[in-house]
Amino acid sequence: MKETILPRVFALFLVILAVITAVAVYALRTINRAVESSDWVNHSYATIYEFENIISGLRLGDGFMRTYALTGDPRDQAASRETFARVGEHFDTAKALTRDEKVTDQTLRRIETQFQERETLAQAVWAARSANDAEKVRSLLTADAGSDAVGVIERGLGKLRDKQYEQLSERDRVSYLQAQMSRWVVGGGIALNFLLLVAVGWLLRDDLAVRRRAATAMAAANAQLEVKVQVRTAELQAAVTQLRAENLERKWTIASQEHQLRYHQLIVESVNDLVFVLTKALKVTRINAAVVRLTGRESESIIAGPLAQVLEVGRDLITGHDPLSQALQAGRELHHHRVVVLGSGERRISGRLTLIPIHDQDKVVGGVAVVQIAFPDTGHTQPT
Amino acid sequence: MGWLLLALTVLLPSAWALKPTDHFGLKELEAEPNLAPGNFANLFEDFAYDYYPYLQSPSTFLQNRSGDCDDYAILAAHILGLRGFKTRLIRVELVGTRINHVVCYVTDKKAYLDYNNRMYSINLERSGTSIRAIAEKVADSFAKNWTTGTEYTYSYLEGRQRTVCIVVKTDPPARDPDSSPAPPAH
Repeated sequence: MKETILPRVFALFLVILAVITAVAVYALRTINRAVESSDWVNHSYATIYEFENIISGLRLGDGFMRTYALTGDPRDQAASRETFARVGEHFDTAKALTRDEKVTDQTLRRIETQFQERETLAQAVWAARSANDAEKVRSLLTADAGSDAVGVIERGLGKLRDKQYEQLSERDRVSYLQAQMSRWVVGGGIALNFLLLVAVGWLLRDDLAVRRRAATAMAAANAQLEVKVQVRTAELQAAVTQLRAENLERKWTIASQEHQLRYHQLIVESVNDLVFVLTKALKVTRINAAVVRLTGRESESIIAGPLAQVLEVGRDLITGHDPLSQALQAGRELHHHRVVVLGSGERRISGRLTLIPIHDQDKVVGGVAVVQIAFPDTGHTQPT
Repeated sequence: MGWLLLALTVLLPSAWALKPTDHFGLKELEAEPNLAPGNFANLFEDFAYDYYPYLQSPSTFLQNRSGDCDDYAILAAHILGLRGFKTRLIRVELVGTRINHVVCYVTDKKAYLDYNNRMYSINLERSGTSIRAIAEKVADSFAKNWTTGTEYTYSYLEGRQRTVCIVVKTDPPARDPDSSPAPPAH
């Protein structure tokens, strides 16, 4: 079975990693946007703060101017001068903060001009009061009486402030939507990762179950194999025991046969009859001791030679064929056939031959010829 | 005889030099020789912090031995300017407070004098030269955000602050008024 669990788990972990990376990147971008948004909120509040400082500074400076006009106390003049100077600084800051908002910038510059008119009036009052010119002071303040210049500035700045609040509200709405979106993205990412982890767990559990089943099947197969091996071993042991017994019996049989063979050999060697073992072509393969004794020849000169060199067999008077060859060809025995044994020194000894064919299965492969000799002292052959 | 003269040359000025425990006025301060930014800050280590809505005159500040950041920074710019140092007054508007913070940046040292650091051994805070860099460093020291950084000048004679340029935090740094490169030479 092809191993697929590892690539699948690896692929799932890659997906999890990709999701985590995407969520982390999104979260970082959201944090950056939140910081940027926070900076803009601070920016808007700083702008509103500057507008309010201008309004309060204008009223305070105007008040100190009028107090100085009444009292002539230099501390009131210094306070008025300081306050107007501070308002100028607030205008500088407010202009810097709103320089990207064209309409606001234009409105602010118009209001600054109106403020500078108020500052010019204040400077004229300070100068007149410093010179103790009460008439000039009175005429300046009388001319300013009922003027709504401070109110106009205040309302103009109020509108700009309201616009900043509108921007704040819009930025807050965008920020809220971003936060909602971030919650969904992060929550979705976490949920997706959770599902992917569950999938990984399920895959691993499934794979473990398959492996456990395979291990169980393998253990069962091993047990069966073990039983078969034990049975086979027992069979082999029985066969070995039987073979050992048979081998022992065969040894005994062989020993018995060898013993019997020695007896037969002894018998064959001890008889006075001449025994020839022949091939089908009437060649001598074996002889007994009586042949050597009677013929006076060496066994080497007889064995492997033709039977005719030691035995003269009369031919059939009618057919003229060799009766030994005919008997072997026909596979029949031949009894009391007259023969002459040719001994050394041209000695000739009469005898009677008995031929027994040797069969190998159903074929004649040779024969055993036994020659009985008629002994001279009795003039008889041995009884047949 | 030679070593005696050398010892007198070294020891006498230091014996007569102002010490933090001395009560000194503007004239003594202006007359103090070899006053570097670090020595200047050391003289104020025993001063107390008290917020004043308006700038105190230098004599009042030195006499009361109490003041706030702009009293200190403007006096530092005045005194160190007399010693030939190039100084810049930087005001940083911090978020969530109705009080801004003023420091005196010493261009030669690439560091600023901060009244809040007057009693520490390292009383010069190193910073980049841009208003944005200084504002960020100052805001960091308060663990707060900032909205604007203003460079301005102040003269005791005129008694009025003059804005040089203002850096707004939400602007791209490339748009900062002090970041524009010098025009190419023709």
